[in-house]
Amino acid sequence: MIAASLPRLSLLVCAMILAACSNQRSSENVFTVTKRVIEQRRVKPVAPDPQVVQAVAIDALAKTTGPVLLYQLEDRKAVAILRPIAQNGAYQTWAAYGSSERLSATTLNGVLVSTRGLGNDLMSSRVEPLLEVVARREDGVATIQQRYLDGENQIVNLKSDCKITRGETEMLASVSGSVPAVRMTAECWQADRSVENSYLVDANGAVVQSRHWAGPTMGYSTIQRLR
Amino acid sequence: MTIRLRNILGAVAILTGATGASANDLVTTITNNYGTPGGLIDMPTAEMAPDAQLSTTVAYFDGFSKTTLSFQVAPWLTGSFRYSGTRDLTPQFDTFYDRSFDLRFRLFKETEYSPAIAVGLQDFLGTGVLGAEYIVATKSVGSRLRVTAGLGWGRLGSNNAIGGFGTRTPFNFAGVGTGGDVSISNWFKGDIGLFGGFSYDVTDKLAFALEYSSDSYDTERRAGIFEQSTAVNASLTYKLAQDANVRAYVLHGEEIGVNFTIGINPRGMPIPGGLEAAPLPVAVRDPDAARDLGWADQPAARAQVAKSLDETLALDEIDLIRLRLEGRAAYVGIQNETYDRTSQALGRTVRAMTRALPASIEDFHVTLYAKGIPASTVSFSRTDIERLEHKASDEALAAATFRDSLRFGNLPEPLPGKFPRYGWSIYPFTRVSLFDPDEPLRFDVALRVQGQAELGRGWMARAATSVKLFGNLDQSNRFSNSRIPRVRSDAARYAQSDAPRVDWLTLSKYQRLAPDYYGRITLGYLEQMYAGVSTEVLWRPVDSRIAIGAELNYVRPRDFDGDFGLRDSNTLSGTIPDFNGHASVYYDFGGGYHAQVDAGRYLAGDWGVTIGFDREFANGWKVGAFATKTDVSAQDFGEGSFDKGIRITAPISWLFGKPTQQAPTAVIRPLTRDGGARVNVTGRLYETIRNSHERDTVASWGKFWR
Repeated sequence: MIAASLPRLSLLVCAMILAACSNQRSSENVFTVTKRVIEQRRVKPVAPDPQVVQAVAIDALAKTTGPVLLYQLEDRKAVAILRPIAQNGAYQTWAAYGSSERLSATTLNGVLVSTRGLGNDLMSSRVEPLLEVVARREDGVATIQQRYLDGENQIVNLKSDCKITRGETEMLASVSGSVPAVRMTAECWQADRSVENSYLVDANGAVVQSRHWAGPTMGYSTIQRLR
Repeated sequence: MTIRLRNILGAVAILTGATGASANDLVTTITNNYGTPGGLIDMPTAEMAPDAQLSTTVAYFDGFSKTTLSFQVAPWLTGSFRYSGTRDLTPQFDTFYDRSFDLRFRLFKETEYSPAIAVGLQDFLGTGVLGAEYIVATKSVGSRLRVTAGLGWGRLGSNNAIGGFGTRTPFNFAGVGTGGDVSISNWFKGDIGLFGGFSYDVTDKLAFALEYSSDSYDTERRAGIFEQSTAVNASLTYKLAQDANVRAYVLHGEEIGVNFTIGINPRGMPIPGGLEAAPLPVAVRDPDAARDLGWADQPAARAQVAKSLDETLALDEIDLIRLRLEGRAAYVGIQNETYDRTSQALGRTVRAMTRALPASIEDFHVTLYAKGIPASTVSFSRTDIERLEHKASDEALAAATFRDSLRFGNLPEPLPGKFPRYGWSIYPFTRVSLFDPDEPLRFDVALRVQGQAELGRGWMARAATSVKLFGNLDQSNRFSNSRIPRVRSDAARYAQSDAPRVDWLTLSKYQRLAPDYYGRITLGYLEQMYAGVSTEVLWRPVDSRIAIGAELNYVRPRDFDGDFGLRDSNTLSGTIPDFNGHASVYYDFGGGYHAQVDAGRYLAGDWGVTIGFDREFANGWKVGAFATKTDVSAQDFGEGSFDKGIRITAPISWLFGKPTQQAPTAVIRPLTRDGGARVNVTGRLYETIRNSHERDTVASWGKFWR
């Protein structure tokens, strides 16, 4: 039986090698699905080489004229140099410089409010009450909301009650020289966790650097304005 | 200010405590030997699996195997389907295979002082060899210990009887003849056995259980294949992962067994929200530009706009098939064959429109086409899209209007050069035959070449041919002994030939008949066994919970070798009638629960009703069960008494987080006989249009801005 099936077996091998033997957009089959599940399990996050990140940043600053951000998702070990791709009112949407991957992030006054394409995306945020206090560089309290999708595509709204404290003035190095900025700290409590965000705010109320909790699977998002 | 903040934080802490306690709610992913959720061994408990948990349990001890699929239909209801094999139980069979269904209802939740109470029916549709009913109470003591006590009837009343009322027809193999009867008159009758036990989590990974069994294994002991020296059973369970457990147990002091459980929960997605590429952001208009209508009079500018929109949508793999541009409004027709959630296709379409359309256009009307026919039209104001891009998605939902496309009118004109479109693929696949007593699992691996041509305006041609690569389906020698026309029971004969076969070859026409009305006609080689013509009409308003349909088919049986030939409709046990058909009612209860009732004439000419019930998840998973009772008597139907089964649809997008509309469905029937059978027509109307309608689109609205 084995001998008789050999030509047919080789046809199967052929089909598996040519797994995407199709002109259609999605044509998964039992073998490609198995293969992808195995591959998915193997992926482990690896932090990029800091020297590479630096090289990309220098390149971005040299070849563009607009704002440039250094973006990090700490728990995911993700680092990217961001350039602006769209503006909607005060919301600025960014994409990675020097990458064709379609990933984006949106900020409001230098603080992350949404991500797209990262997995477990932060869908939208209401952080205005917090940003008002932070921009004034005063102590205060604010409630913020961060929205995610659950496994059934339903919006989960995570609410945090934040206590904002003014800290020391620090000198922040940037492309245009050293600027004074006040460190604002926000301790935020949710139903089952508390996080500590911090923002460096310049004299105009602009957040020039932020470390802002982005979500249960993303952890802290760090955004630093390079220009 | 500071004082108020403390108060808020205090409230949060209390809330956490409350949810923390009820989150467990006597829930477990451990299953017993019967594959139902619970920490004991042979005995049931009042524990439930997490809502929507779908688990498979394989339990084995010396000659006894049970494979069970359990689904937590609702937080208070478990349904199970089981395939069990017992070696040397009867002289007729080497191994006695049997299928059984269970239902378990939790009547009361656990409270601080009272236990959870559940009532269960075990093997209530089968031959009854595992038949039992029970009422059981489980109470947690602390966070690690759960104590259970219960009363059992039938199999669970065969030991430690404490009384009883009524008489129960004892199980015997003579009654196995057809099986599948619901013998309500026996439920909760006869001796009542008292059982009980406890489970204890030694560590987070390891659990120990001890029980006193009220099952004396009478039938098995009579057959001389089971002994017992005690009614006490004990087990150790190791948690391999969140949804996987392995267990070893000692049964009645005589047998050592193992049990493996693996589960999946459709409500939890490996990557919630998906991994698909970021959408293009909304392009906000310059407030002054909105007045500029200069483009509208210039054909070249209009053509440029159309091209730009087409290309922008193509970046997101959405097909622009129709377009009409007016000074202040755009009418766009799209066909989405990429995103399994329509809300996502819609969200990407309107964003592409903000990028490609002239600033003067304020009204966006997107018509969703399915198989070439308009299924619904969704309208937005462009200002809302600009304003709501970074807000919660329900605000965008409030700004959307869904309408029946024909009632809306104003349908855009077809764009030239979009049709015909061709698709093809070559892929390996498996054909599976389950539950043949000679060989419970048989399968072929085959290679298929399939293609389709979409000709536009609802015309579709589909063709597929396949060739078997290897497998053992042809080794079945269980040929039909049916007493009614052999419409399905000749399946084994269709698997005999190794030659390439025509899987399907059809031409279909989809048509909007009137507002709320849809029509389809399909002609050709419809499926493996039948060729003919299938016609269908469906009524479904765009925002409706209910839909009503009718289908009429003219069919002729195909040759067994799968070529183009047809065979005579006369079979050894009767003639397959030319016509069959149904009237159907579909109802969406909300919360993901759906029902479908079909009534009409089945393939063998029998008249009857099919009731189907599904739990559908907004991410595309569906788990359901169906049963058909026709005027074919249980005796004429043969083993199983009537047609029934379960069906599971698993979306591939759920697994990988990449958008794809592929969602294979597995239909598991304990037995395939000739009563209550229907022709398999691809592309029935309800499934074709429902994704474009308001209820299904809104169910996943969170993906609109994704």
